Amino acid sequence: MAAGRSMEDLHLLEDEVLVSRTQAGDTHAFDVLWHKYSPRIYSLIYNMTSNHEDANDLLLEVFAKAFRSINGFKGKSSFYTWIHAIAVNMTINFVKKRGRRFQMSLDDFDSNIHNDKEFIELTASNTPIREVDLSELQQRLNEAMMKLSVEHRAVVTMFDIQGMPHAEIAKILGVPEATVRSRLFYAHRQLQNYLEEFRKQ
Amino acid sequence: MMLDDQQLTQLLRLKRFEQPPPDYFDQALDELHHRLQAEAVHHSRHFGWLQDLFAELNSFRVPKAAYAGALGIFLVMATLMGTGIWSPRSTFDLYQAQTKAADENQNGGIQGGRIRLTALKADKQDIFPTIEPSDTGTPRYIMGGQPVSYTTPSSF
Repeated sequence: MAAGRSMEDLHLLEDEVLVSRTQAGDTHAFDVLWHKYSPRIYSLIYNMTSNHEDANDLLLEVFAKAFRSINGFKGKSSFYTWIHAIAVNMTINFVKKRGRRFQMSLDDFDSNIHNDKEFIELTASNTPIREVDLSELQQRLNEAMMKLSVEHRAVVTMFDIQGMPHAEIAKILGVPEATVRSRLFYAHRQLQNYLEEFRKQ
Repeated sequence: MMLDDQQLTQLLRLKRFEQPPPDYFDQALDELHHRLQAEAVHHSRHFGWLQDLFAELNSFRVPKAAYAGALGIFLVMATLMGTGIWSPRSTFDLYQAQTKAADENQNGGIQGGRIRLTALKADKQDIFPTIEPSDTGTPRYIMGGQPVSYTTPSSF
């Protein structure tokens, strides 16, 4: 009960305080950081790899690395930016090493998708996805994503799927905002072409 | 019909609904704990002594005056050696070295009709010039870095 109460209290703290507590040896503080960021980091890695098992391994590696390196975190950027940067770099390295030897292993769609306003709009309008079922749509989307370079996939994931602003993506990747915008432009053109090809099949 | 930018973004945002099983993150946190504990055990087994050493070094406190004192001693020594007032090397006395070597090698190490090998130890002999430099010219023959003759050979 006391532990539960203290965990609830920890959830109310700012990231800076949680990081300081972790640096001082409070592992519960790091657990709170996990609960706060692991779904976003998982989503980032999963959408860059299209494989649940790889995403699981990388997620654990990212947080293990963050825990080991937390004493070196000086707060020059937010914890959010810092851990996203670790995740993106580790995933890019992993995907480049993996090369073409991979199989998609996709998570299920959350059943709430059927109540999503954007999904209803898309399926109701005169678009290609009106004609495909959900699993086919998922397959096509992931195949199109995997045709992008991993750097472009990272930008699309953070901007289009996770809704991050350009400036935040630029900080995470350590590149100018203009580079983010140009990568996004190029990636969108490629995705439109790939999805067009699917439509004609 | 090709997807426009807005439709593409809407389509990509549907990927937010691709989710791992509901209890996935709790199980993954347990796995992370196990991994970090295993790493800590492995680390303490292999690098425990190194951590102890660093901890010991960190706990060792040097008085602040010691740094100033060491710097002062270094500057005094550098000044003394730089100006030639003091040198750590002993000066080489040519006359004494020649006399000592002559004594030791007298009669080629033969003393009392017996060869005294200890008198011929090459590694203990001091180095000194055995042939005086010529006033008239450069040495004609050099052996082992030492001039051995200043005269021109008469024949070969």
